[in-house]
Amino acid sequence: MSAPLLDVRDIEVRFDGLKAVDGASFSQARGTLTGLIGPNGAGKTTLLRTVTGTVRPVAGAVSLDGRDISALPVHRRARLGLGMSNQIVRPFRSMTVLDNVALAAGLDRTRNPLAALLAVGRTEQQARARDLLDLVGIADAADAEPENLPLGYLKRLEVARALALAPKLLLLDEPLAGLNHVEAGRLADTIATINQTGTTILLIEHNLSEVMRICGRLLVLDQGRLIADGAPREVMADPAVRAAYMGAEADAAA
Amino acid sequence: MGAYELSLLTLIGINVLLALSLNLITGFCGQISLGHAAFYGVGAYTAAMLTKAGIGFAPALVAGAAGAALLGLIVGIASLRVRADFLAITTMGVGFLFLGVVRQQEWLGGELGISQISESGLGETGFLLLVLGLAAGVFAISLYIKRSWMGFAFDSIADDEDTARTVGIDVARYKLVAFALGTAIAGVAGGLYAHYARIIVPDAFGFTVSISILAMVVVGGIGSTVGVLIAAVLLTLMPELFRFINDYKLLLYGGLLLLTMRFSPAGLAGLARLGWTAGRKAERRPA
Ligand SMILES: Nc1ncnc2c1ncn2[C@@H]1O[C@H](COP(=O)(O)OP(=O)(O)OP(=O)(O)O)[C@@H](O)[C@H]1O
Ligand SMILES: [Mg+2]
Repeated sequence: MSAPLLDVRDIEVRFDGLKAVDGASFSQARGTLTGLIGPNGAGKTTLLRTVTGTVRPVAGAVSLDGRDISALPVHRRARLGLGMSNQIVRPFRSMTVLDNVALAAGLDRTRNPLAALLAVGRTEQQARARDLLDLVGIADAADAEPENLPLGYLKRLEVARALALAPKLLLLDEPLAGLNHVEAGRLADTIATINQTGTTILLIEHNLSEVMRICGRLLVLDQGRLIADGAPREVMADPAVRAAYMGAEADAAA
Repeated sequence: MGAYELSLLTLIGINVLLALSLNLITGFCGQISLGHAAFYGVGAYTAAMLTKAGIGFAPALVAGAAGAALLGLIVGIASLRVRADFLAITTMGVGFLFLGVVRQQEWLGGELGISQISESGLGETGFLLLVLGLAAGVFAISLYIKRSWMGFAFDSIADDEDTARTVGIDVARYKLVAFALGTAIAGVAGGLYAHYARIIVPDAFGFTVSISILAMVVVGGIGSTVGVLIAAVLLTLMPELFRFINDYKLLLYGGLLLLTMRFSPAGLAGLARLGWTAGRKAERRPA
């Protein structure tokens, strides 16, 4: 068997005293669709950000495709095949929705300033961007400014932009939040399709019914630690997982 | 053309070059600079010293550009780690540092600066044509960059550099390219200015000048090449037409900066777009 696509080892992240991630380790095989769940503030987003490099852990290592990428800057990791959609949307507000995605689709054009200077014309990348917008169901907003769009659109823009990088590993942070029931079901189907066509996906999501429906494996994070890992039904039946969610609910109620 | 018109046109051309050079850094790449006059000054002093030493005008201009770009790269590298508000202070500091150093140096003429700078050898009309040719060239290059993928990448950096990184943009390298290009062109403008005025003093490269250049970029419409060109022409003509303005330059340019940022953040270019859309709406209305 070949090395896993992603390997995360003993990651520890601290924000002034607070341990946001506390020694998390897991690996993910090529071609799989894995869900990462856990109560609010468990450290899910932070853990994924250590994979993309936007958060630097105080300890631990991340490998992609057997290569240790822990020391690489964010843009190098993106070029090695990591695409992430943000939970808190960050569209480029000075560009149309289409250009947001076209820029990412032009990864080869922007590889260095000289190559970028010599390249003019975006038709090819815009055509690909249009296909991706269509895939996530927001092609009607291609020429709109992100400023004027509802959250559900911007969430899907995040997914399309991450996909435009043609990543080996797609990291999705709550892509279904802000979508209505029908839209969420449809996007979940799309995510499953993207996975079936060869992209490995790690999905953070609070919409448990959709997660249970499309993910082959679930990881559960609680207070920065991984407390469960396995088939979705077994994981959800795990008393420790139930306690973590109940505890969070009790906290919220208090 | 009279001597006055010739001289004024030359000055306009130099200021257009300067404004377009800052537009590459601040307009295209989103990196504020409050010390752009320092690079202008490095170009001016380098070129002036070299032609005085007997070196040709053309190589002196190139050396001025190289000197300015070198300082630009150093400032660029130093500023990679600082956020936008610190960058404003850092570049302002570079501007004051340049003045402070130049004023102290005997060999650079101290407070008195450098006088009796050699002629370019092109004659006044030839010199004007060179200046206008360079300004037109930089204008064309600016339009091209904006259309290229480099301009696209700059847009993303000016917009949100953290997100730009996540789509694979090597933000640091692009910023350094913007700094190097912009400061090199400012250096050329400086070399031209030195051989136009034929006397340079430190104050010609002071804070007021940095603010004037920034005002041209902001009033024109940050990142709009055409807008910045127009603003550079207008803001150069204004103190020439109304002599008394010269005493209140900092006040005027500072005021224009603030007014633009408050009432029309997209500058003249933004106003033109607004006017255009409003005009078209009015046309569509039945008479
Ligand atoms: N930049 C930051 N600075 C300080 N604390 C942070 C920062 N980012 C996250 N935290 C804290 O780290 C902890 C983990 O946050 P994180 O966003 O990773 O949780 P999460 O599992 O993604 O939660 P949610 O489900 O609400 O998105 C939280 O306590 C949060 O307040
Ligand atoms: Mg989160």
